[in-house]
Amino acid sequence: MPLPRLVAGLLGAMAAAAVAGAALPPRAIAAQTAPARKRATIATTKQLRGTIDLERVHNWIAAARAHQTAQFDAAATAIDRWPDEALAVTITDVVDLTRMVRFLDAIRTGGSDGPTLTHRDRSFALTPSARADGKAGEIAVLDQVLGLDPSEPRTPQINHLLELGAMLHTDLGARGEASSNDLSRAASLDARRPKRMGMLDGHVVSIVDNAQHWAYARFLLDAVGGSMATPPARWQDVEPDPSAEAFVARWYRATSAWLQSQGRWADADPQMAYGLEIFPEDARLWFYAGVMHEIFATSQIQQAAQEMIRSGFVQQVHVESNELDTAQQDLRRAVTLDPDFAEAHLHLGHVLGRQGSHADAIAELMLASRTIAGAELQYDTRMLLSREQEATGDQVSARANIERAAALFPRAQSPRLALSELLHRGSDPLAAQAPVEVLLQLPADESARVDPWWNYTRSHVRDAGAKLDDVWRQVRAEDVR
Amino acid sequence: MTGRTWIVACTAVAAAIAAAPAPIAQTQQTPVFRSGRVAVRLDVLVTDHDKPLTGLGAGDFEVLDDGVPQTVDLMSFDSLPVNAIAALDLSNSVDGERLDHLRSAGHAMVDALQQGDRAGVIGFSHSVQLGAPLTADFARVAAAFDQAKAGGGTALYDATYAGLVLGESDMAHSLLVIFSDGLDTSSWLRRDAVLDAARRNSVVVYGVSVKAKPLVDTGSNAERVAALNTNRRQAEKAYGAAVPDPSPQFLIDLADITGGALVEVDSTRHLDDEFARIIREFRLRYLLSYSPAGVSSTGWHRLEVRLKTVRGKDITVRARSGYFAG
Repeated sequence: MPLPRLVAGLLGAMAAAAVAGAALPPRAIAAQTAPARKRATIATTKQLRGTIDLERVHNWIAAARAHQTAQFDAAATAIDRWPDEALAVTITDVVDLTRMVRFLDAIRTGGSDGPTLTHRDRSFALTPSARADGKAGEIAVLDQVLGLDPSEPRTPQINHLLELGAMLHTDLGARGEASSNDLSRAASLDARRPKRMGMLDGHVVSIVDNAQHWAYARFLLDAVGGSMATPPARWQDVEPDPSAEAFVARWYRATSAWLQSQGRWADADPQMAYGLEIFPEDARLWFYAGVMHEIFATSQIQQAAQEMIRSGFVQQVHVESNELDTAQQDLRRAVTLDPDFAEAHLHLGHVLGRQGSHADAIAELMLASRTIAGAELQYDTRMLLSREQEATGDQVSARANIERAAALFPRAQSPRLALSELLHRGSDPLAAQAPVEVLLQLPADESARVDPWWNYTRSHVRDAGAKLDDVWRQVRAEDVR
Repeated sequence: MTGRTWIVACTAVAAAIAAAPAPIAQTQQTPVFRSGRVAVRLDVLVTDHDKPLTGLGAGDFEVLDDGVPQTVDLMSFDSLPVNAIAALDLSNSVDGERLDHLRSAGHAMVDALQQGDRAGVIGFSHSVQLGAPLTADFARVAAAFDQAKAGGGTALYDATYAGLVLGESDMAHSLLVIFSDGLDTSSWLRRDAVLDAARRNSVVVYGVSVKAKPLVDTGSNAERVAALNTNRRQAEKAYGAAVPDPSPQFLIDLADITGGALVEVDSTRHLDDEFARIIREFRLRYLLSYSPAGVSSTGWHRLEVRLKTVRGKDITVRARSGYFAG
């Protein structure tokens, strides 16, 4: 695991005037009995009134099919140059076309009404009336536009196209964005457009334009789903259900992890929120969400958030106590769904400790300690246990856990400090000097004195890169063309 | 109130305790001193218009221990050597010109030391590193400043604790100068634990911090200020709490507990002057001692130090806020 460096990240923010006092509300847990879930949307000022720009659709589809894994290739370059409005409209059109295909595919043996598609110049016009005998011709046109093979089932092809598009926008979203380090511009920024603040070690250091690629990707994947048993009355009401799609689940887990690993909180937050709308029983997503809020409660995030607030920017982080409450709530959900989720117990224990519930914290950390795997996580568990045990007056157990952590990473500084502080607070301040003397003799080269505590806020997403690679492998394995 | 307190037993007993092997941690606190008379030593800085006021005697001071007046002796610092430890924030935000200024400040601090003094350097980002141990080899200390490199997070609490413990490694007159913006982002130790250690410790802490600049500079434009305040209130509502103005509160609290001071500068350009001034000021403290009477022999004691004979609205007395006995 690489040594931690900066505590960098991007927090989402908007000028308060643009938000008009409306806060980004604390996310509510999606109730299992709730009606229709919140679906992904993308902003576009053009309402679909029946005109689709075929050339743009064609170009976008060609790019989605041509784009190679995680490379900023010609296809990605071309799409990256499109203005946001053009992208939003085109992606909306593509999704609508897939819904039309699903609809027509489902009704072509039936006799219900549907839209008529008329090829006029280079665009489609929708007219309200329909004739059943025209359906075959219409669907053939759509097959051609979307590049579907009519001899193969359409649903998997549509899903694959949408997944390819989602991965194109995933890679575009994952790219570093042009940023301005000129913070004097902050006051003159367009308040209507969301901004993201880059932060480093608790300070705001840059302003980044808020790109929409993650939103595009979510929107595309919201249109992924299985065949319809019974189509709705209108194609506009076709709403595929991605919750049964393994690819979508893996995508949300992988991208949520990756965004957190990069400290891209502005994108990670909505990513997990939408993921949990689709997969409310996914323990891993609840875990990621809980840890995110645990991190939001840390001093470096709180300090950066407060800096933004002083400048009048509404941002996504809430006060520390609220973030800890949300973290506890989400992590409890994770361990309820998966009682053997050791890492979730670890983070839940940390959160409870920070909230002053030391006995409960110890209980969670003890659960974690029984099965948690890996030296770094065992170290974290032992260190956090020692802290909670000291808080309850159990100095002996606290010292034992500090020493066990030190045995795992003999050159880590945190156990030395913890032991010294334990002794300093106890009966022997003179003995407190020896651990500090050992600490101060450690080598200057950090690679020779690794302390897993430095990486605690990233350890839960240590495999994020591999997860994302797996998702790409899956979508490529499904290539049918 | 800020200052410094030593609790001193008879010399022979103190030596015997120091030689004993470190006991296994116990759940019940054992007394530090088992016998002999106990004297409390306080170092006190008196300033008049921010300049150290010298020439005072024991009779000029009044010391209250948990509100009970005490009989005060006086000892001067003139003959006591200084242990000066510099703890330098070497995180990402300290680079380029700032680092150069910090190095110059280190040299200025060393130049202000005298024969018999010792100095040490701790550098910290997320890792706490010893630049130079407490040594009379001032060239080695100066080299430590020159070799300092920036990069990483800020383990301010961890470094402060290490400096406090290093400073109390002997009974000399110890000063810890911490340069930081006061924002911890990486420490294992908690803020309150380190402040508690400072209360139990004899080291005087001076914090040096660069004042934070706002992200949005409204200048004196009334309309912009009003707009910013409106936006800020909306942002605080969304956040869920009022947001205080930035301040290095940890360093302020340390100064208050230990009898030191916080020095806030607008830029690092004249840091060398500040470091040298801190050393000179540290030498000009009075050392008061008294044997506590009429108060408990254990636990936390609140201290107040006042001048009996000298008055003036620009006179300040800085002394430690209290001490742990027993």
